[in-house]
Amino acid sequence: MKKFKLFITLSLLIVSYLGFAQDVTITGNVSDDNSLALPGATIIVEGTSNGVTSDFDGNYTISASVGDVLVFSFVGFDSKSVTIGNSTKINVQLNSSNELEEVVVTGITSRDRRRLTSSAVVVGAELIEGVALSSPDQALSGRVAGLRVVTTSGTPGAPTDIRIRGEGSISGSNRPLFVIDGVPVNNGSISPLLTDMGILSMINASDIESITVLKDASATAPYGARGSNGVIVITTKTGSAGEVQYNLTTQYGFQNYAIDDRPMLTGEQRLELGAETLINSYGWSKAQSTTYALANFAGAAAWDAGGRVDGNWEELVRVKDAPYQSYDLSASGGSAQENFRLSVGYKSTDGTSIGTNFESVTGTFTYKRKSGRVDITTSNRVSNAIQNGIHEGSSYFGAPQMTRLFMSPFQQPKNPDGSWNINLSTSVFNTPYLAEMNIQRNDGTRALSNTTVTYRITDDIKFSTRYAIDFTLGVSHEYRNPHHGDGAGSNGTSYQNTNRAFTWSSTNTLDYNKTINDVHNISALVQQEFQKNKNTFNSSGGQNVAADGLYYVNSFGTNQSAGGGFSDWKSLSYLGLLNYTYADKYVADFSYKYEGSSRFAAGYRFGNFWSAGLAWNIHKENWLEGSNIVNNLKFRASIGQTGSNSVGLNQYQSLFGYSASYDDNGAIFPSSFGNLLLSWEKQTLYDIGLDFTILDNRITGSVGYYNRQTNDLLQSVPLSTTSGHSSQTQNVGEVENKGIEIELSADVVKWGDFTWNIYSNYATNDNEVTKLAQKADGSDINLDGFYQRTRVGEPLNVWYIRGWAGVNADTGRAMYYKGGATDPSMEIVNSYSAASQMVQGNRMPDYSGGLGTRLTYKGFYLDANLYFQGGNKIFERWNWYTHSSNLLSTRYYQGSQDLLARWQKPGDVTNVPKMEWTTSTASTGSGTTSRFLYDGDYVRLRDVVVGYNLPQKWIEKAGLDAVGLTLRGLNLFTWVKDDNLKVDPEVRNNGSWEIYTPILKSVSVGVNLKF
Amino acid sequence: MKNIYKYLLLFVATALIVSCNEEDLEPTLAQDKDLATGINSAADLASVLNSAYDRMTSSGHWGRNTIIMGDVRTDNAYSNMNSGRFAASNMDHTAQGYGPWATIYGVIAITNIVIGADGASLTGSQAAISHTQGQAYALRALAHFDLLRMYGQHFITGQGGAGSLGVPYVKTYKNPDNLTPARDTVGSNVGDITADITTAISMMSASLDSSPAYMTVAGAYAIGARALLYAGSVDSGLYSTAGTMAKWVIDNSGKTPVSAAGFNASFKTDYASNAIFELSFTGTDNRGINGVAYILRGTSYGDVRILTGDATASSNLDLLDIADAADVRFAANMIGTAQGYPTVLGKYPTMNGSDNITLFRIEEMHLIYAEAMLRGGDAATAKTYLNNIPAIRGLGADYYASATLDNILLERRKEFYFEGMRYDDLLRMGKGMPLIDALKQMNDDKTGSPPAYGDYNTAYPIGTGELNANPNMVENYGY
Repeated sequence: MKKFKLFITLSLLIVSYLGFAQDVTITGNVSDDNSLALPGATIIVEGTSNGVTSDFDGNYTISASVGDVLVFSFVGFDSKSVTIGNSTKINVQLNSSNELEEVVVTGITSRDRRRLTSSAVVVGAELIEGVALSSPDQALSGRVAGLRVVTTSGTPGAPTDIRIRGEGSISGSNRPLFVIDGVPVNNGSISPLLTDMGILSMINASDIESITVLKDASATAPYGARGSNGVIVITTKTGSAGEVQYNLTTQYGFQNYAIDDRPMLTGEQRLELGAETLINSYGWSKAQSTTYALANFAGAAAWDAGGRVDGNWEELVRVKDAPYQSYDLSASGGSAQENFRLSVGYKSTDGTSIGTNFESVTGTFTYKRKSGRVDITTSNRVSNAIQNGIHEGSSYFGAPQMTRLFMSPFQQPKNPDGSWNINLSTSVFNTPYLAEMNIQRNDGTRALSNTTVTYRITDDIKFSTRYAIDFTLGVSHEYRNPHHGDGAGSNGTSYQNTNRAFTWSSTNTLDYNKTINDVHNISALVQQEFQKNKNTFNSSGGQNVAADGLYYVNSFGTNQSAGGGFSDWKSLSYLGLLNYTYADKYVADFSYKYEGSSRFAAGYRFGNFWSAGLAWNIHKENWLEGSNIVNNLKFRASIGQTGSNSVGLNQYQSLFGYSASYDDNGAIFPSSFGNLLLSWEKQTLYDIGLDFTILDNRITGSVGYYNRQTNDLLQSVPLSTTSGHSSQTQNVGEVENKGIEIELSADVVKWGDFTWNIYSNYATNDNEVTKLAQKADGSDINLDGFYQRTRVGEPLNVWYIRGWAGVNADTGRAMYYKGGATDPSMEIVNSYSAASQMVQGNRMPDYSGGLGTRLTYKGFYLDANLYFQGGNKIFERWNWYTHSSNLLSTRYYQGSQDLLARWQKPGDVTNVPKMEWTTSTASTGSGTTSRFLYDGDYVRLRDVVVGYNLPQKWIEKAGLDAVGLTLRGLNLFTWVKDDNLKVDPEVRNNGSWEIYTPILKSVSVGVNLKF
Repeated sequence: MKNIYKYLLLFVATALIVSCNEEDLEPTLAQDKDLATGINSAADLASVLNSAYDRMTSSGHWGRNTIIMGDVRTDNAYSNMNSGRFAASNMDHTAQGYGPWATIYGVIAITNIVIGADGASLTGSQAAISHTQGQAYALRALAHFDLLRMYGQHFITGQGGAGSLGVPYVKTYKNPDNLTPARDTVGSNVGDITADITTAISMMSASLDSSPAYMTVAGAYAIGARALLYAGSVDSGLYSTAGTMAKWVIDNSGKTPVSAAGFNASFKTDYASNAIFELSFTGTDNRGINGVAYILRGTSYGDVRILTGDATASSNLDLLDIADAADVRFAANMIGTAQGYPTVLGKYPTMNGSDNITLFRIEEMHLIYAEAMLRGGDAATAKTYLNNIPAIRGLGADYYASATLDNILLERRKEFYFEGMRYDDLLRMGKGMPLIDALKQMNDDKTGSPPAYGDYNTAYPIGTGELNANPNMVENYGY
């Protein structure tokens, strides 16, 4: 019976639509509640795609029929409907909305926030532009509760690494899924050689409309298979109706190391400490020791003879005030039927490490056309980025940042005649020379294309089909000169690699949206998606170049080698979504996804993922409606199951690999142990929260609790290596992440044109491994490493190193805690080998958040944003060289000035042991111990921007629509809790400080013109 | 018009939905093949065994470390820490483990795949299949011998000699019942090595022997000779078998010691006349900066140098002290300087490591036979075979007046310095590591004396990872 009624209603609608086609032309004006013209307001004939937008003075003209309803709408204002009667002139005043009827883009649907059962956080374009130095996702730092962004290196173009709500996987990926305009895309990096370039750095921040971060079950479960680490949905800008508007933004700035507080020994200090090793170890006199050191330590004699001038390596490897600039031009416009946006962008950044820079160009074109019941949208973007990188990430002799820490000041960078000195008497290379001579370049091209055709079968039912392409071409070239450095041994080397990744996806969606009797709203969606990725790579290399000035493999004729390969993956999924809302009060949300992946064996490929969510808009209840105290109050809860397939390709199979050779003959080897039972890593998520807006819309916020239970982990379980394999991937183990998330925003002062807003977010993360793989005897297979361990009952990868007990004031030798794997003993022992590893703290922060403020007055605004995190410990691994009280710091490499505090005589109370003649780090106190483990708590002034939008009357004469000026500072100030931590606390997710270009601070000015 | 859109869309959608099913998710295997169906012929089997040789050439094993660790811990060499490598020369091993444990078991896994293959079901010559499987037995014996001498507890004080812990002798690949094996005793390991050598010899045929870059019948005998001479230190009854095997190689292999004039060239030449078994390295397949030549004299990687001492301060002689002026083995083309340090030049001549590395050469068999004869009471034969080596090196016919263990040890040091044998030679003769120069050796205990015979740290520790994954594994004494 209901169906019959529905059918009748639909039929009548169609008949009525056909019956009253008497065209009239309506004109009028749209204004706001202060009677100011509203340009760009949308006027649509209800139930049709017939619509226009108001012009700059708020005027419009539209063809319609008598009896049609015109709907006037504008962002931030309540819509108004007017039925066309006799008058052909309709002027409308729109009132600014009391409630923010925010539409949230989840990548699959767009939904009114009131109808969501999750806590999606949206970061708008104004917070993304300008902040994103090399990758747009950097702008998320400090903006979203529970999301941490780690900039992996200060080298321009370096990728970022994001964690949402901690880490749930031991061996698999903990990175969120990136979705651009509804399509999951590749993230990661192009890094066939020793430098990384993030793929996201090839998306121009100025083309991004918003970034939505999905964390809850009901939001991430629709991404089923790949949603378990959270989803970052990037929505790009599209055209808008109206006259063509041009937007030009330029930015120019300078960059420096954000933190740089690690002075190294001068030549004199080095000589003094070096001589002291002989005095302490062999009882030599100071004169005898100094003479010996000058005569025997590499470079010391020449340094002495040359007047003791230190090599200024640190200055040479650093670029001070490295400039960066960006120019973005876009044009957009159209009518209600069609619109477009196109943009071009150029960005150029010099790095703060010598020899690095990054340059990118992007072009985009978006076009939308409505034609009857068919909507066609196409969005296309192509970019090319070139990164001149460096060796980094470890103590590579050719890494400039390694030179900074390891180069002896006795070594002179230049010869007396001013040429580079490449006959150094040390292993460390002359990296300023290498920066001049060598090439290390990543050249990436990325194309994204997304075309959707939507057919509105009825006003309630839409069918759409989408075809999307994601293509990445990574070309790398490395040239090492024949004179000095890594290429010297083979008279020059050259490598050229090409990686091609092509992904296409096809998506078919049937969408149903219906409001019945004004109270029942039903949104349902059925979607099928097939995604296929193929990768090919070619690599080549050669040695022995004939002459300088030749850089490519063809000119390196000796020992030429080549490699190549192919891999692919596919996924197929079916999705169903159902959202029911009663009177916008009660919301029920369900999703079900059935997804299969080629990464698993037949029979284990498909997984079921689902979610259920409930929300109650309490403020819609009669007893709260209209309240000025509580404007908005929503209780929400969701539960669901998501998954992860982040396991290497073909890991389920027991395979022979053919990539080896012996004696120029092929060699076949077993490449994987295999596990035919391998299937999805699963995760059950629970969320409960309260969203509110109170005190006359002055304070908005949300409080939530989450619990992520990751189980059937795709864990690389260690095997006894007597099997010939080190591990087998199994679905085993459980990890729990839980915590609270708070977001708050308060308009503290709203006084005429002056507003002052404070916003903040805070999240905790409590991580615990609850189950691991077990041995046959039922005991756990503990994952104990040299630095970290993973055991049941502890967080993932806690620090597991020996305990440092300081320096014995009588002997000057290092002391340790005896330690132990369980119940560590705090007894003091005198040798490294007598001490055992013990748990020393957490690698991951247990709290993080942001705090910001925004002041606006007329055209001025000031926005400042702090990011903070803590509860973790940071390990400074390379201190085992730079803080060694022995020959490594004084003879072979270089030491920190912290060593000046070394023990010298009985009674000295210090944390630095006495200098000794050895290269053993373990015996002189710089072995791996908690001596170099520091508190990771810090607060960073992420972003400060002062802006001014010039008054309209000033710029009108110049024919401009808007002019904005900004002055911006990034990472200008950092407070670090631990005084002994001299390096940047923003370390990679493994918790160790490593040798990368330090994180940057920058100051820039920007100009934005609209015309 | 509208209908056309509608039908077009429906058609596209239906076509896509219908066309996708589980088979579409079958991944492409473009570079790999399924294990169960990967071996079909004699050639396939030989290709699998190639990866055992390939794994032996890794930097962690014979490509560098196994050779260097055989000398850098002794009176022949030390690490000057130029690139921070081989700090382990001070034997400061922690319980994290050390040495090529996993690499060698990787070699063993390959040999077990070959041995476990059903030869009768493969296409190709059955004789060739048998020969390949015989090679696998010999390599399996060599691999276990290498493990035994690095991890076995036989020389550690109080551990029980032949009855002490050896290593797990793994004879199957992916056998579910043997994925976490316990350690066998040293005696049991020696028995298994002997058995594998015997099997190898019986399955192989000299007529099918390829170049010395592959295992041969003579190679199998040579492995047996070296392993059993070593094992004689815990079971003296094995010396005579070692002698018999060495003598078989001398008499039947057709290999001859290289002449004095050809000594230097023999290291540059692949398949020299004295080579019984060598590992192949080429211009495109070499360890480069992670190879032996670089660690001996690379400008940035040259960490391992000849250990020279102050002759007046030490009764222990360094490598240069024992050289006769006329000895070609110490000539300027063999030993020189690099970056100002005395360095070995001739044995690993090409910097990029494209020279083959000889693991077994005929000269060793002469000295094994001499030692076996001496220990068996035949000093006269021993003297003959001992003097064969200095004679062909141009030092005269009767260089040594008598065959003593000290003279044999001395001659082995001169002949095989920097070939990875010195460490085992000292230990199996019951000697600790001699002190040459405390400043260079930088021994960690600060007593100024290097590890003595019987010290716990003369054996590598078993790694924590292995102990965690294998409930039946036992850590070495002292770690």
